Formats: sequence, C-alpha cells, structure tokens
Amino acid sequence: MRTLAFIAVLLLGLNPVAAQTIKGTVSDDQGSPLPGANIVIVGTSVGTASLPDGTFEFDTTITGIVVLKVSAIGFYSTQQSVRLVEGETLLLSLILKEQVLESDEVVVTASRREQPALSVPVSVSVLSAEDLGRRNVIVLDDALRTVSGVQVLGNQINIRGSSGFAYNTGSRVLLMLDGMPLLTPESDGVPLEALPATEIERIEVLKGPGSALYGGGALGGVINVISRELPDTPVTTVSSFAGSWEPVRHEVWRSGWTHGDEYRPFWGVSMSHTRRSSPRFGWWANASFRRDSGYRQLSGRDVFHAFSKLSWQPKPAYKLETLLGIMIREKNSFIFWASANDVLSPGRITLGPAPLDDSNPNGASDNFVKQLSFLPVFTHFVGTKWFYEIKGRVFGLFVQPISNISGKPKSLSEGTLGFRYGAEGLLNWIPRSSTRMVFGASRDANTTRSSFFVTTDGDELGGQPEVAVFTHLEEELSENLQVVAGLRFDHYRIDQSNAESRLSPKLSLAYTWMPRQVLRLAWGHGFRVPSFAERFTDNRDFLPIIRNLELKPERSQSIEVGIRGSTSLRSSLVQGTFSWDASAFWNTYDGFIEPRLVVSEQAFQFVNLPSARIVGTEFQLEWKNASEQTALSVGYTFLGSREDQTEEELPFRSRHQVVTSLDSHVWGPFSAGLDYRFASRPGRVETDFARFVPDAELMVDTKVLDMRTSFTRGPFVVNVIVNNALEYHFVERPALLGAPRRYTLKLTYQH
Amino acid sequence: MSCDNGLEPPGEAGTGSIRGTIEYLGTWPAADSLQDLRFVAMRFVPQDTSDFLQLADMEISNGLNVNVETDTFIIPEAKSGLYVYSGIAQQFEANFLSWRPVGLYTDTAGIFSVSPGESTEINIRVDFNNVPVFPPEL
Repeated sequence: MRTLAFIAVLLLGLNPVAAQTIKGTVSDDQGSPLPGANIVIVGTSVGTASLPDGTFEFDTTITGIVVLKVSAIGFYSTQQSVRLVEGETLLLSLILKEQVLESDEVVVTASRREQPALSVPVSVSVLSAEDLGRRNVIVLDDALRTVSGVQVLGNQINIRGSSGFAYNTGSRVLLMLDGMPLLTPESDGVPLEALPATEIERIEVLKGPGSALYGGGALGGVINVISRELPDTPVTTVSSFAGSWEPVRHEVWRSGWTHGDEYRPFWGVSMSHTRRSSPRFGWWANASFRRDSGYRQLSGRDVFHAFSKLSWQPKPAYKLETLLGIMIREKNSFIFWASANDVLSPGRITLGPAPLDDSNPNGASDNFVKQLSFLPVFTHFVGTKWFYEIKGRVFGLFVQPISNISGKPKSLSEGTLGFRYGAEGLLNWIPRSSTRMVFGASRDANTTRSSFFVTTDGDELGGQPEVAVFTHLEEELSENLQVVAGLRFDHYRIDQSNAESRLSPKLSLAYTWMPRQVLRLAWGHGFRVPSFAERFTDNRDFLPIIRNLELKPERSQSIEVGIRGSTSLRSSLVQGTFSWDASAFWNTYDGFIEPRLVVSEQAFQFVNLPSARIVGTEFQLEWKNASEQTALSVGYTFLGSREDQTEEELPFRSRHQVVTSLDSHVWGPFSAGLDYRFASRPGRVETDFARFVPDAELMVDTKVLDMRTSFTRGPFVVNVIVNNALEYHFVERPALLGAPRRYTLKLTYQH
Repeated sequence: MSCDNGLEPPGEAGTGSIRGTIEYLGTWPAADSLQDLRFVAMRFVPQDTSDFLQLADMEISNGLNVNVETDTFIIPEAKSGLYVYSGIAQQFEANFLSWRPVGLYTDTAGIFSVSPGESTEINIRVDFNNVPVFPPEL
C-alpha cells in the first residue's frame, strides 16, 4: 500500500523497567529494512539511528505524549505522537515512503499538512528558497512572476485569470504566512512587502478556489509562504545588493523627465541570525533596508523591514511559535502615466472640483506606511491520535499621506489606520493511518478608520466580525485512491443591518493509476467578501467615488482534472528525471466586483458584474539531469474567458502564458541561469480608466528575459543578475510601464 | 504599436493652438451654480455626461471669467486633428460630472481642425437664456 508517509504504529507495553524504552523496526513500503534512519523525540536530542537490519532501540526518562520524528535520506520524513508510560517499553513498526526523485516536493497548502506534491489532488506550484535566492527576490511578486499560470499586474496577483486588473482594491488571491491569512485591513490587499523574503523556506501557490479550507479571499487561489524551520546549528547570513535601472530605450520617453537619461540606483542590506538556544527554544531574526530611486518619476521607495520567529517547546507535547514583523516604508506610487509618449511622468487629471494640496500631478501619490504583523501558534499533542492548534493573528496598518508641499507625513487622521485580528482553533484527529480529519473554527474582526471611507460601524473596534466553522476529511479508500472532502461555513457581518453567509464545499480525488503517476479530480467553491475600500470608499478628491452598501460577495466554482507524474530516464541519449503536470480547468465566477461609472449617480461605484467563466489548460514539464547540475522547466497556460451576458472575452486576461527557467552548474564555483516569460496581449482591453488617462488602452505582449550567474567560494556567494535583458518594454498594467533593464550585484555571506 | 522591442512611443501627432472669443448674452446664472466655466473642444459628440470623462479626447481651456460680456481664451498646445463638438461648458454643481454646455461653436457645422504649428481661431456665442440641448439631438 502506497501511503503518504508511514503506515502502522503498534503500541505494546512490555517488560516494565525503570526507564522507558522505545524499540522497533523501520522499513520501506516494500517491507525492506531501512538502516540509518533517524528516530528522535522532537524538541529533544533523545533518539537513535536504526541498525543494518532496520531495528532500533533507545531509552528515555520522558513520560507522557511525545512526538517522534523519523527520517532517512531518500525517504519522506514523518512525525507521530506516541504515549510513553513510565517503566514500559514501546514497540513500533515504522514504514517510510520512498522519495524516489529528488524533485519530489512537499506541500502543506493543499490540506493543511505536509504531503508529497506528487499526490495532492489539486494544482500546486512550489518556489523554493533556492529559487528566491538566486534571483535576488526582494519582494515576492518578482518570484511569483516565474510561476506557471500566475501573472502580477501592478501589486495584484492573478492566478489563472481570476483577477484581471481591478485597481488594486481587493485581492482574489489569499496570501498566508505559515498558513495564517495575511491581508491588509482596508482593501484586503496582498502585502507582499511585509513578508521576510530572506527567511522563506518555500512558497506554495494553490491554483483554484481554496475557500473550503481557508475561507474568504481564496476565490482564485492561495499563496502560502512557509517560513524557515530552525536549524540545529546557528547560522548568520549577511547580504547586500546594489544595482541600477538602465535608462529606457526611447529618447522621447527619456526627454519627458529630468532624470530620464540617468542610471537610477538601488541598493539594500539584510542581516539575519538563527539559532537553537536549547533543544526546546530557538529563534531567527532578520532585518533589512533597501532604497530604490525608481525608473519613473515619483516612484522611489525606502523600506525597512524586521521579522522574527520564536519557537518554544516547554514539554515535548507542547509547542509555541510566534512570528512578529514590522515594516516601515516611504513610497511614491506611480499610478498612471502622462501618455504613451511620456511614460516616465505621472499624468494629471485636468478637471475636478476639489484641487489637491498643490499643483503636482495626481497620477502619483506619496505615503508613509507602517505595517505590523503578529502571528502566534500553540500546538498540543493530546494523544497518539489527535492534537489541536490555536492560532492568533494581528495585522496593523498605518498610512500617512506625505504632503507634496512640506514633504512630511500628514496626520494619521488624513490617512488610514486599520487592524485585522482574529484567532483560529484546529482539532486534528487521526483515527487510523488511512484517515485524517480536521475540525476548526475561527473568528476575525476588522477595524479601519480612513479619510477615504464612510462606514456605518466598520470603524469601530470589532467591526465586520467574521465567524467560520469548517471540517476537512482525508481518506485512503484503497491503495491507489485518496479522497479529500471539506465543508466550510462562513458568516460575515458587514454592518449593523447587513450580514452574509456562505457555504463552501470541496471534493477531490487522487488516483495513482501507475507508479508515480497520479490522476486528480477537484471541485470546489470560492468566495470573497467586498473589502472596506470597495464597499465604503466615498471620496471626491480624485474622482467621484460613492460607497455601495449593497455590494455582494464574489463567488466562484472550479472543476479541474489533471495528471501529475515523474520518471527517471537512464538511456544513453537522455539521462535524468522528468516530472510533469497537465491539467484542464473550468472556473465560473458570479458577481465580480469592479468599479463602473454609474451615470445615474454621476460617480464611480464598485458594483457586482454578471457571471463569467474561464476555461483553460496548463502544462508543466521539469527536467533535471542525472547529476542534478542542470535543471529546466517549462510551463504553458491557456485561458479562454467569457462574460455570460455580453459573450465578450474578460478584459485583461492573456490567452497564452509561458514561463521557462534554466539553471546549470557551469563549472567549479560558477553557476548560471535564466528565466523567460511570455504573456500574450490581452484579447480585450476595456476600462473606464482609459476614458480619462491617455493611451491607457495600450497593451502589448510581455516578453521578459532575466539572466543570472553566481560564484560560490566558502561562505561567500556573489550573484550578478540582469533583469529584462532584452530591454523589452511592456505594460505592467494599464498606463504603467513595466520594469526596464536593470543590473544587480549581490554579495552574500553565510556562516 | 508592438514590435520586437515591445511598447514604443506612438509619436506626437503635433500640436497647434486654439484661440477664441466669446460673447455672452442673457442673464448669468447664480454664483452658486457657477462652479467652473471653460472652453472644451471634443473629438467626438458626447452622448451623456459620462462622456465628459473621455479627457484623452478633449482639449480644455483654463477657467474663464464670469459675469462679463466678452472673453477670450487660448489653448496653446492642442492636439492636431478634427474637433467635432466644442463650446463653453458650465459646471453647475460641485459634482465632477455636473457639467452642461451653455454655448456651442456652430460655424462650419461645428467642426474645425487644428494643424500642427498653426493657430485656429473660433468665435462662440453664449446665450444663457437659450442654452443648447444636451445630450445633443442627432
């Protein structure tokens, strides 16, 4: 039976002695004994390794519930809670599943627990820490652009066409840090800059609705950022980078800005330290600063960032982890260009009854922003078959507009103050090795005060409470068939007189029809509740926007079939390992929230649009040579979209997307790599934006090549990176020129 | 627009200037309904007030004087090409879209052209007692 991790644990009390004894055997899933496997009580240094015949035995003075971690090279490690009774011997028969290929990845987002990516019944892509490091990823959107089926439009993440371009108000993708939602309180935006890019173990991108597991926001997918585990030995990392933006290709554009002919610098430093002070306590901390002068007028930024993770295990069965982060940022936001002939200068709306505080262009805004995040998690292994987790989350946002006259931040009362906070309880029950159930409940609230919003009770502490209960079942029906089912009920109170409830089911199957080839079928619902910004913005400083208290949640439904597999080739022509994933999906959406000009109100308003559908296919292929010195990946996504009422294509969706990546250990300490991404020009470009911003309807194909080399010697790594090496000019989103060519030199020391 | 190098500047169509004189007749509106007054030249015929947002296809003068008998205006850099619906627009409420035409350019069927480097001169009569119908009757 090909289980996910190990199959059987037997508990027998034998031969009472003074200390507790743990003994047994470790074997693979074919029944062969596994020598050299490590068996350790988590949170302690107590443990041993299995002998050549797979047997092991060790003593401990610990009693009660403990967690055993079993690991062996080439096999999936696993953990199991067991009960140690004073003076008794615990006899175990442990089976580890072979990790045939190095490329096998482990993911947690699909079902809230670690499992091999090969066998999960949904589409998940993974970016590793190495992927981030060699690309000098500072803000995570740079990394997400390399994921098949993912586009980044401005600060808005678009998974399989779910988002299009919606003015950065409300994300249809849920961002999580270690499984905990992390959306900004005012617009439910994705605060990618608030994440510790240098302390990330991996990023998992779940494609398709994830609301049955994670609730609102997961309409189009989930991005789960997994922070690093604590290593056994202390590690200190210092890195710095510097580089510059090359002036754009066209003289007409350069001439529109005083600094248009200059190379514009950027630089940054980062320091982190991680250590396990004792077997039961460890931490890491990271601080970084970066300054970017920007390649457009009024687009510079200074960002300070600090993050830490603490892990304390006072007893083997108890564990407390906290993530604490702060980000301070002064940032110019370039909103739209003056015209396609003057793309480096912000535009200006020449009409408007309420002038700004000076005569500067209003195609840019300048803000001083502080973000604070606090995410504690408590885990208690109660018995051998169940444990529970209690998770908390607080996300604070402080936005102060910067005066164009004095250059200083204005009062917070002229900006935005927001908090999103909540807690979640999860009970995990594992009645037998083939069955796993999760029961959970959560409560969140939001309070936001903004000069832009007119709310009813949303600005009160505890405003817009959200309550959810959910359950999740995984069952192995046979050796080859796994079923995952989930149901979640969410209840949102919008204000004193309005509430919304939503039931989100999901069902998925994974069938191993051949060794290392898994068929999957997934069906699920998603939804997203309107953000504060979409519902309550009522402001005429820039454009007339009126609030819409009748705004309903967006809903989605997705069906996907796919096949994932891998194989090793050892022929004389081709050697190495191949892994592939092919999928076809059918997503329907109802009530998309987008801004429209409402003539009767003589103002813009966020409204629910009629239903739409997106169908598509996605193919991914990865190859690593036998020595794993060279790796190649190719991904292709096709999207066909349609609005049901108009039968027109959805705007801002690229029909064809291609991402490729090649990395190779060239020689000795030198490595090199490249990324290329292509996205076809959206088949339809339509926005009220283009009515008042010149040339906002202009879109072109996206063709971007990034190149990199690295040199490693001892604890030092030097990276040289050229982004957009072809100097191809594209449009990031309407009326916003994408990043031109830039050069980066990065130095890293790790000890 | 797209080639191997991607987005390129579309190139300037060239600009010329629009100069005009305005003659006002009738009774001026009350001050609280005179939020703003400007000359507006459009490359299209508006169908409703929402078309006032198509600023990329419009040329707009600075604010005009009010409670005068005559006035002049100049738009020194107007995109060259044809303008098919032009006149004096009054913003009667603070709302961004609360504009209405109070006098139209009617010579040569209301259409004039701006040539690069050249100046186009037009005359407009505004009769507050007989303002044009909006949306225009086609």
